[in-house]
Amino acid sequence: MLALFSVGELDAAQRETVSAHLLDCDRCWNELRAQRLVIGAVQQLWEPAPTGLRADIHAAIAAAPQPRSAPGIPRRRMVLLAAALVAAIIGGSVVAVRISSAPDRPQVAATSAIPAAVQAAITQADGTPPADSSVPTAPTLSRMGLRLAASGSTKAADIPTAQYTYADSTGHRLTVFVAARAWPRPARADTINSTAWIITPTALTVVGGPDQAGDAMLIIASDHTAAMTAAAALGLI
Amino acid sequence: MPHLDMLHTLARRLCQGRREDAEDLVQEVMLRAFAAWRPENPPRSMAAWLGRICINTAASAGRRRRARPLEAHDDVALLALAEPTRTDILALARVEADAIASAMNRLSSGQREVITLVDLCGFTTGEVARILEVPRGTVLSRLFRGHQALAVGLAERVSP
Repeated sequence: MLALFSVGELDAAQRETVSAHLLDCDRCWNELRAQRLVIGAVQQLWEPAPTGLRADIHAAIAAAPQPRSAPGIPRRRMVLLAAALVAAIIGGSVVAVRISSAPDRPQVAATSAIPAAVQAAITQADGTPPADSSVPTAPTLSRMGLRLAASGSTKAADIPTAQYTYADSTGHRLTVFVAARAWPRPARADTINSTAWIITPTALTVVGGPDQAGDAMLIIASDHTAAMTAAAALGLI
Repeated sequence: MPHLDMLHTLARRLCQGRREDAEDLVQEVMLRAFAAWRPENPPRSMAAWLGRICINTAASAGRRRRARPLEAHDDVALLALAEPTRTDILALARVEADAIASAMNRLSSGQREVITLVDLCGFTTGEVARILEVPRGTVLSRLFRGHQALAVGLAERVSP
């Protein structure tokens, strides 16, 4: 009874009984004080996960075999749902996971929570960037099994931008926008760290923030794990 | 990041404070959770589900067995343990985190698991019973006896 009392799991009537007993019993009173002091002491051992562990987990999951599909659920959908699980555990939010039937053309839903500049960049990620030989060297994502499929320079909502589109061996795509000036942060974005944010409109993950050189970056992918792994590889998180 | 922090805290205690082992354990738990996740049949409590995977993973990897203290029969061995005195209680107020971690490591694995899950991770004793697949009475006994052992052990360490 005292153990339950000390962890707050008794109902009101039981609490009354124990409280009344404690008034008259030195032994139980001392026992309870000791239990509570121990609980307080033990709680000093709460240890939040170190920052690097999150990126390590994303990388490990990205490299792991994909989960077995449940009957009736396409493998692609399983990957996205598993990514939603990871987001739920590690942080970030998955507002809704809507599945694109064509994996290389992510569906984009207009949403008022996303500033026009970011929405324009997301929409643009659905197309092939205009060829331009003057764009800076593309960030390397070959460690993730991504090859550069197209690059170009453009303007995303009036912000001069270099656009790089990568693809993996199955045709899934990931787009990185790089600009000297940051796009506005969406109102509903979740904070990843002091500079990076994430938003997941429908079946997409969009991660924004500066890279290590201070350039503004926007990473857009239909695969959450890929977007987060790229964000870690490019130094956003 | 409530679940990740909870998992990390749990892993640190299960690995008796060894940082690298704990981080490896958390990664392994996440990979197992990733593989076991079934969207059509999600767990009722994500935290409890992950806690159970963490406990089972630590056990199957032998992490607990390697580090397990000799006294395996915690509930019996601690029946004879002295109750905390007033001096013990005064000493407890001055105890520091290192001393607590060290005293936790000297507990039996069963007590350490229960105390970590209840006091640190915030699970109820009913949830812990389901996670560990033991009766709730066993959880309560381990919790109570574990607290007693910690009270006495910690007081000994900080007393002059």
